[in-house]
Amino acid sequence: MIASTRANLVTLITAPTVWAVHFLVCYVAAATHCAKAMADARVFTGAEWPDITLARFVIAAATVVALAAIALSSRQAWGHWAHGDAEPPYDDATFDDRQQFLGFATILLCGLSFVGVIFVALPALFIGDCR
Amino acid sequence: MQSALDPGGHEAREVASLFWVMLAGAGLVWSAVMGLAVYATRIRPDPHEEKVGHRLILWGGVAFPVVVLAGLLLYGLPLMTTLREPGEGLRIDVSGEQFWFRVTYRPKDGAPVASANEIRMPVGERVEFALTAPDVIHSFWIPSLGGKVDMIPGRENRLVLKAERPGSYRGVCAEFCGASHALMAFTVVAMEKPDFDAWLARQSAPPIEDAGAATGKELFVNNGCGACHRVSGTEAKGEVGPDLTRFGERGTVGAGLLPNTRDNVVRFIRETDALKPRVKMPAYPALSIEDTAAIAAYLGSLK
Repeated sequence: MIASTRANLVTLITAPTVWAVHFLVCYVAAATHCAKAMADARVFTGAEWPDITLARFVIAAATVVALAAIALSSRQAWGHWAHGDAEPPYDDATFDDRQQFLGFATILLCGLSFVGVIFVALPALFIGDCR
Repeated sequence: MQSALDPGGHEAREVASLFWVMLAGAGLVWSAVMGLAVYATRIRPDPHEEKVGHRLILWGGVAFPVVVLAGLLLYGLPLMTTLREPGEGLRIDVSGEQFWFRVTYRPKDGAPVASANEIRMPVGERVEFALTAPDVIHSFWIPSLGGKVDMIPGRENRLVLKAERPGSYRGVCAEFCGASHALMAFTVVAMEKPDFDAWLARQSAPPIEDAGAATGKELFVNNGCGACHRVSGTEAKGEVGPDLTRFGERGTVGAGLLPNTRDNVVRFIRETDALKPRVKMPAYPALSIEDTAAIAAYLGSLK
């Protein structure tokens, strides 16, 4: 989350970056947790699968943090968008147009990233072990 | 016999119903989009108000896909747990090798049983498959029983399948693995549990020898077939090629290549590489047809 009074390319990609990092955290958490647990348990034939409660907590926490960061990013972008009084499609070579274009594009990306983060986290709701 | 849409097992049934639900959903979305296209080009081709356009983008382009995708995801995800229940005791190791399948039954109590290119399993019991490969990547797929799982050198992948209907199913290698990839298949025989238990119990004993096939057995041993092939209870103890202990019970010769008849076995021994390109077994055209037929008769008698 980069706080900025002006919209720029960094504020634009904040939300997708959060989405990407969240994706990485979820997968790495589950993969390392299960790789270790499976190596320890060496499960086969009727044995219980090691559970992933710890990884699920990590994923839940990462999801809350990611969604909050995206919400903050979109609030800031809303400010950039509402700031000027240019008219869509914001394609004049003026400062206001650029700000509003970036602000609006950031809001759309925030929406996409928000849904993306939720979809990435959903499997952890259903899957409780390393199977 | 080999259709994922004709399920004979629990996993395949779940996957087939997922497919139909997805197909119905896709059909509805397709019809709606086509309907809109007809509406916009034929029924009312003149421009609409900007507000209507914005609303269409918001509801049709954002809200609708999010809701539909979330719905499909929430429907599909719980399948991941039900498709991966643990096995119920019997484990079968299957190794994909160029270009056949090495099969080892590992019952919970009892000695392992070696076989090849045919898998027998009990109906109504979740059987665990441990999948490996020594050479290149293969993939283990019995479309009527469940999804496919890759066999990767250096890894042991697991797959649990539950057959629900007795019968004979076809399995294939589903990952290109070389010249004879398309000629690498196996048969799955799902048997009622008591029949299967009796069959498995019989496997630990050597095959019954047919007195009439003694010449063939002698030729089999003297020509060195046992360097690569194993026949339990004889001096043939090779581990390179398929175990032939109960070859006569199998439906095919050459890993699903040809029906297991005496003529086809003779052909396979004499023209191995022509029938199955790049196979590791050399052809034996130098053996006379009579000798080869005697070997084929011996193999066919192993039950």
